[in-house]
Amino acid sequence: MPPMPHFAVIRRYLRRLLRGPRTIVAEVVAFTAACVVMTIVPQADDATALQLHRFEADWPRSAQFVRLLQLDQVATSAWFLVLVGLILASLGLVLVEQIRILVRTWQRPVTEAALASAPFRVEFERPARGGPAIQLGQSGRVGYAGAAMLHLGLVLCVVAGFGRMLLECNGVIDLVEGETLAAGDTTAWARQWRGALAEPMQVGKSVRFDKLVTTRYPSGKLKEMSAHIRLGAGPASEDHEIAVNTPLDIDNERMYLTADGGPAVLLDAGRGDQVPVAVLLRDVAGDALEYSGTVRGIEVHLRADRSRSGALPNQVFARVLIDSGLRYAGPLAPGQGVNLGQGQHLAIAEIRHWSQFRARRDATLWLAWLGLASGLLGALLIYGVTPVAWMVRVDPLGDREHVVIRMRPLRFVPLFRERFDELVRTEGGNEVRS
Amino acid sequence: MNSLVLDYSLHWAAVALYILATIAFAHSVVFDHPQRARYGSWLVWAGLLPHSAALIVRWQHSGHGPYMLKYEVLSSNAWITLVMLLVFLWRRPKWTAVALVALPVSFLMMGLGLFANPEVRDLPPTLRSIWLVFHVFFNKLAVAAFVLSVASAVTLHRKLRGKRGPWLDRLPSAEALEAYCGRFVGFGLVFWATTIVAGAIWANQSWGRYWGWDVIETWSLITLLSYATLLHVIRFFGLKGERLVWWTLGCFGVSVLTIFILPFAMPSLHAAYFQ
Ligand code: HEM
Repeated sequence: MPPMPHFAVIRRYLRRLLRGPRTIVAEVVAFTAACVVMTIVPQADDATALQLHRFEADWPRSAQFVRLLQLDQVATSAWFLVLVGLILASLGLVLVEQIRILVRTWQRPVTEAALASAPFRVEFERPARGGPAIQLGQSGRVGYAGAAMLHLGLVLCVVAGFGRMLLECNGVIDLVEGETLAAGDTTAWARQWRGALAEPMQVGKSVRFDKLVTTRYPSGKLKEMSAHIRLGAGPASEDHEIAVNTPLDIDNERMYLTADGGPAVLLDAGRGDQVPVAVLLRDVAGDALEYSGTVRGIEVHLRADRSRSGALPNQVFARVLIDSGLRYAGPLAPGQGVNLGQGQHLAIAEIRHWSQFRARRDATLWLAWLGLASGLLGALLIYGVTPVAWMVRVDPLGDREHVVIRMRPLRFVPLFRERFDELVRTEGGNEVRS
Repeated sequence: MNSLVLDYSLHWAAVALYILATIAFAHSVVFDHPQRARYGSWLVWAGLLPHSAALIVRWQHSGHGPYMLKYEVLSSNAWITLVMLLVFLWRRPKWTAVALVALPVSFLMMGLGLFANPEVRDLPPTLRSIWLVFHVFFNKLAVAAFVLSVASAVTLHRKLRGKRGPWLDRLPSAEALEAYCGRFVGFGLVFWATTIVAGAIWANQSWGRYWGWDVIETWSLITLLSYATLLHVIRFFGLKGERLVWWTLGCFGVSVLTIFILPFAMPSLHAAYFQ
């Protein structure tokens, strides 16, 4: 038995199924429903453990169902990927079809036969005027490209989304004024998240964070924020600024300033002259900024009030312990230190700002922009430019003429009544029969 | 007079004029005096003066456009809807009935805003972007287009119910109303998509990602997809009549949920502007 006919039948069936209007509507509805689920069921990759736990406690029965259908990880679930695959297949078929129709429509001139079933039609007689026997015309031809561009845009966006899932890389780093992120350093990042095929985060040039500049409202709230940075080392280095909403491109990576951070305290700690260690004070609760940790074997707790103006504190309140024994509790200002016994000391060398930066690499970003632009332009063409074909045929009847006028708008037919009436009027028809 | 009181008084003056405009339109429609509809339009123009002045006063005082908190958001939505209504009535003077839906929706939005917290909130640095202006502006255009699609749908519903009357008879045919409904939905979809694209560009600049599946982001996509479903059903199955009315109202419900209800109900990066 020859296998080919079977294959051809299946292919034809699949094509008809995937291009079927019901399938298309069902796919769009299913994707919409998946989006709704994503917002209702806490998603494993971005919900907190508490949210997940609470959902399980509040909806014990649904939780089982949710786990079974992977509704708590929609974007990576098998059924969602199958759905997106089906959508891509339908879109691909539609796209090929729409491009074919577009090319054909574009090349084909308007003919009388094509307007035989036009929704607007009228025939009348008028005194002879002369002029051409038949006029055929069309306007808004570019509107034919709308649907193809829109759906091409959607395909590109989906492909860009997949590309991002696989290739995107993100890194977050906290830098203290004066600190440098070395070129090619993949280990300095506080946190990284990336796609399965993405290389670890690194930047191609060294980045030295020189200074944070902020302006504030009278209320004390942050108004503007930027970071002065130095890219590269040596004489070829360049000064740049990264601000909120103004990221900086460094080769293939883009670097963002994401948070103003707070004060960083540079501590001289230990037994001798060592390089100061920077510890970062963070917003813990209310107006207080705190640090708790161990610096060269010394347990240090620092606390400072958050100033409304964003200025650095003049001093911090320190609690210092060695082997759980309290050695010091009290204020410390830059330049001040305490002797902790056993040859150990702790001093504040300086207080500076620290800020949070984020770096991102997304190789398919351009594809997403191309898709969005194409989709948007396509939608604009569909609704902003309606292709309209029309014809005026004049047959001589002695000293009179028989006139036939036809008009076919591609969509929104009833809205072209006035335009048709206007055409009829200019051709001398006083009675409209359509 | 302090600027908050001035802004408040101007807003209320505008609401009063819009209510009078609604009465004028209702009179024109119900008692069949089509030529008197122009008084309604004049009153809307008159209302737009204090309304615009109120928005400008607030803009100057707050240092940012009308897009923070309900007070500003709802007022500017109503402003755009009414400007679009006037443009529409100028092009289609016979469609006064549409004003009877668009005007009450607009002044109710304003009223809701006026009873909300009128505090001026400082704009955080992330919101200082030209893309925010596009994002907000196109969102308001989308809302206005969707309100007009609802107005067409409601008018269509009255006509389909066999209700007769001089004003209903004067309206274009049910087919034309259906086409308008589809066209407003189409324009709304374009504006909504532009809102999403402007938001994506801005998010990419500000947060380093163009899409993040945040709740409000996702619901804006759900709204887009709901309207896309409606347009496909119109295109593929020739949806019309009462079904078209209910589909249009349903999709509008989804957009209202996304813009006005979910920002209160769900924690989202995008909700701060409204809460
Ligand atoms: C499964 C994915 C989709 C498929 C297979 C699909 C297919 C189609 C087809 C075959 C048409 C008719 C085109 C024509 O008249 O030449 C159409 C029209 C359209 N589609 Fe889609 N579509 C899909 C998703 C979407 C989405 C997600 C949107 C919006 C975001 C969208 C927006 C539109 C619009 C606005 C029209 C024009 C409707 C009209 O003629 O008024 N489509 N689509």
